[in-house]
Amino acid sequence: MLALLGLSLTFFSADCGGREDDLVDEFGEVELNFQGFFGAEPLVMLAKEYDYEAGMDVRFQLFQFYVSEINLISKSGEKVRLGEIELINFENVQSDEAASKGLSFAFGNIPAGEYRAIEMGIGVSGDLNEKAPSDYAVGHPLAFQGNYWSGLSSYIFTKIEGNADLNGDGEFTEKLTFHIGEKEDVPLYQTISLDYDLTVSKDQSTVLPLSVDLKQVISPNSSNFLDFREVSQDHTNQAAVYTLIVDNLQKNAIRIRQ
Amino acid sequence: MRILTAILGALFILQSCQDQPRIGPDGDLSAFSYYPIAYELEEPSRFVKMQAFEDNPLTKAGVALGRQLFYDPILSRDSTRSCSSCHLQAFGFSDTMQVSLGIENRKGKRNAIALTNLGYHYTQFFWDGRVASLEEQALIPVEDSLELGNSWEEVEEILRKHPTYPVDFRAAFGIENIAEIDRHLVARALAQFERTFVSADSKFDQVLKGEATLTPAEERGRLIFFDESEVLPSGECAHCHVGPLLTTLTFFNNGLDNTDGALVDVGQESVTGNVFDRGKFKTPSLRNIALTAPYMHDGRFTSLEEVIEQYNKGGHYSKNESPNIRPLGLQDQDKADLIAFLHTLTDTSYLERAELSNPFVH
Repeated sequence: MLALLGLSLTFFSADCGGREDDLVDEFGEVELNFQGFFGAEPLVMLAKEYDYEAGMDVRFQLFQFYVSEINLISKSGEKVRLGEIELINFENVQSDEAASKGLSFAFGNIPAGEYRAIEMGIGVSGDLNEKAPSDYAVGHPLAFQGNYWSGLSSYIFTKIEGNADLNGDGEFTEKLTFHIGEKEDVPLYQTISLDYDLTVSKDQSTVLPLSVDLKQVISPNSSNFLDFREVSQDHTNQAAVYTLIVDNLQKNAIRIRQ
Repeated sequence: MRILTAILGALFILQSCQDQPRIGPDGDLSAFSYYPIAYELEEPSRFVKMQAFEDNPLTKAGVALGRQLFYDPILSRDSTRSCSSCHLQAFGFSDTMQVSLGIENRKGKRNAIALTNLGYHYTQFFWDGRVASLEEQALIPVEDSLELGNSWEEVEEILRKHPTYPVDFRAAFGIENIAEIDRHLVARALAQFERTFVSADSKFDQVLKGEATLTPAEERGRLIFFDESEVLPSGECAHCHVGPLLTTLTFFNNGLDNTDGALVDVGQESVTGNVFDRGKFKTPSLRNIALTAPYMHDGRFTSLEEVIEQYNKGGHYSKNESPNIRPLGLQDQDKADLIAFLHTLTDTSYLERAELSNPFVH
């Protein structure tokens, strides 16, 4: 009984944000920095072309995805909320310089102390996906109408757009649009956790460096890739396509940047 | 008795006239009262909430002044053109010209964009997005030689000497002296009026509220428009024309021309200097689209049929052409149904709303 009580108190402490020994009542800032890659190369929209599978080449115009329920995990396992939702959007990363700078998201008022991991949901969490753009003020990541399917009452979790050169002739005339959002009976949201030792200090900003490899999303290996000769568009209606994109984005593409 | 009544009446009128506040020496307006009353704008529940615009809150007097200025040709060099010359309420605050005409019938460069729900446009106005707010936007046509062709110094001088506008500016903004009337107050008044351009009562709006139903043709068109059918072709329309505003308010190269080479109108590139923005234009709202022909930034298409035919072909390839522009495979019935749906976006109440109409016409 005492053991159960102790366990309950532990959960209570974590859920209510109570201070453990590794966190103190002083506060700093954490900056998530996402750099995009396509394999070993920086991910640059429009200005770069990339070798693809089966003699094809690819060029991108848009790669974006939502991350929800972003938490740091302290050494003792306490969850500290960084943010509710962010849109990681590489659309305006159109040069090597912009790619090396990456996309940054700063979160203030984070308890100082030692952390061991970050966790975040890839996509829009269930609670948030029940909302609509009209629930938010302009500027909120979920206020943008272009990322919402009103007919399906779902946000579009991930968008990949670009062009492919199917036969290596230098003509990128094949148009690519892959838009992934939840449909009935197609749950696509998943939480990932990445280990990383991080110290947040009072009144200091600490960068947590992340990488996102788009090649891992659409072409994890040469026997398993989106074959643009066969499919150039999906709006979450071809299971083989959206499953490949979602699984790889969640499991393989996002890493702590070394 | 009659004579006495007449004399008393005349004295009463005279006394009343003497009680009227007057503009004081050196343009002093402080004799006029200033009690700003907030303009209560009814916001549709399906819309993203409008920003507060704390630097220019809507007031009854501000909106009324903006309405007068919008319709008054006093802003143009020869007093022949006003904002409303190219933005006519009967056409969803657009006009029927391929490109707009300014003073002396000077031909403009672009089609007059239809004005609807402007208070919800949070940034980037004009087809090329060259300004960030309605207040900035309102400053430009006055001095554009192809539009109102005037100078702000001239406009400010005329307004300061005008028999009624100084009092209206006092009521709207609480200025103490006519010398305070300037271009920025004119722009603020125009912006206030334009933020009342709320359109949310088309047949399609009524359908969404459960107050009307689409015909079979309209419904088929809706499914094509929003790509909500597994069996019908997709119009790919809703990538750009979506939500209550029927626009994402973002910029696309929609494949009208090959934009990799020279171009008559480079669109957003002229503002950003970014070659990847060449041929990109702001996505217009499709509200009242059946009334706002001709279409596109240069008014090249005279009918919705021509527009749909263009998109059905898939556009002209360019490096930055939106990948959502692709051959659609629409058949004649699909096109007709799509157009039937587009007609459900017409909000006739918006075209007839008295408070948006010309205040100089009785």
